[in-house]
Amino acid sequence: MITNTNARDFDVIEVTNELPVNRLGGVGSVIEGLISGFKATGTRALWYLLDHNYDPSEVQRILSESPSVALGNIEELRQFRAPVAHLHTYNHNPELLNHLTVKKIVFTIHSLMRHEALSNNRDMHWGITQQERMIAGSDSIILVSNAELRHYRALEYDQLNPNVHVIHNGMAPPSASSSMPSNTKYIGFCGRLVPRKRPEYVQQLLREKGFEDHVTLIAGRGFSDYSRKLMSDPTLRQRVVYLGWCAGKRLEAFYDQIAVLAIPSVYEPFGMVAVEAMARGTPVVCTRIGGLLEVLGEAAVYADNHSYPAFHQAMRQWCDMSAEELTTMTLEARARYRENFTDIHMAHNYQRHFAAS
Amino acid sequence: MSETTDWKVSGYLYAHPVGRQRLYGSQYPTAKGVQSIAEYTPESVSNIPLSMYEGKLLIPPFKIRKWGQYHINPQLLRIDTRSLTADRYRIIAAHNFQVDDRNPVLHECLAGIFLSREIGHRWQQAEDWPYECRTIALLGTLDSGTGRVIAP
Repeated sequence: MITNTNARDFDVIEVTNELPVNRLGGVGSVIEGLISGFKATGTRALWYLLDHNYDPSEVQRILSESPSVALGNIEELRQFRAPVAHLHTYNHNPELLNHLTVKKIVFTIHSLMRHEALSNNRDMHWGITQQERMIAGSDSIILVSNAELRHYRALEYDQLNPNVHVIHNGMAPPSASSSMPSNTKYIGFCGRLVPRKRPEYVQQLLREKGFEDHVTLIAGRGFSDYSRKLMSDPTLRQRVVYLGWCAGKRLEAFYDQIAVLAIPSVYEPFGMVAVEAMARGTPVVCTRIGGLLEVLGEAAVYADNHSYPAFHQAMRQWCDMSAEELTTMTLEARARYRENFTDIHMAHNYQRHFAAS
Repeated sequence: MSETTDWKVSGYLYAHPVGRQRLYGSQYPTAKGVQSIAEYTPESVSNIPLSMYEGKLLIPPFKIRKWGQYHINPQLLRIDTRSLTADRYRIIAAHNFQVDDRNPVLHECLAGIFLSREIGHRWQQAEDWPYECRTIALLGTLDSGTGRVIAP
């Protein structure tokens, strides 16, 4: 085991597969919010990295940058003590449950694997089985939205574990944006380019009348097959800019540049990128799906369904909005962020849940 | 794996090389480093001087201009080929999507090196799972059995 702390007693042991260093997906961003939220609220947390993919140089960076971190195997977890273990793991290993010597095990499900499989059209049966075993073996389950709770119940997971609650994700307020105005022709897309996020929609859109001089900035990882095929069109290739997996100042620069964030997903358990945009006053155009609707309320432009024509129509609606209408919408979004989705809100909600547990 | 060297630009510390399977790269490009790095276009990448030394494939720092962006490998990469299965590998410069890029200059991107192998009459692509990167240019071919590097 490797650790950067001498302490062995904590308020909570946070078990995760990733930290906010070279994140694999949205979980790393949630962990980043939890780290800052727990720090602000005085919760002493150990961050225990399990089944991670970090190489030695990344491990060194984590140990130097992150507070109270340990990297080890399941057995070595016994060296630490806390009343609660909070699991974020998505490399589901139910054996973990047998090695935790805590009073309560809280399992946050960042996405339901059954819905990931359906929305990405992928066979994920092994992961589904393991996640279900984790659900059954934990003391309480946290879902990240009420929409996920409805999915949970529709899957009859109540029979696996009826002690289920909703805690929304949160993030620290972004650093002040630059004084550079956003480019009114830049459309943003942020996230992993998996099929369920429909990244090809923001490319297709550039072929439409009224969007001939727009540019799409993509802050994300990976290529869907269809996106790759679209990039063979030389006219599109010049107007679709891949920025890679953006973090820190690059993510800020991305949000500074774009006039709108498009989220055409068919499934979002929560929609962390929507919160990122809300906090910065960036307008959002998205599908009217559970997690996004819950986060954004009416402070967004919604597509009526998951289809590309509906997304196109919503983008047309955004184009037609006046400056005053956009300002009203983004001010409302910012207020929603401050009232519901900061790192402090998330940390307090978890503290309350741990205490109640 | 590449050497770890600290680079600074605009107050940012660039360090920590990253190597995952057959994807190799450094963490950050830097303005200071970038200015001194030789520039190439996809048509001129055969001029990037690749070499072998003591079983290691040496990839010099480079920046490749493509799609209106600079794809930058800021450090000398030393890839130990002795751990590779003896075979021919395509040396691909790829936009490295596997690491957090914190460079606020949006037209600068991190390049990495992907060693592609032919499996079942198909060359692996940088875009494939689990690499999920974007091919920029073919820099050459490596025969890891003989240690020869051939220009594209």
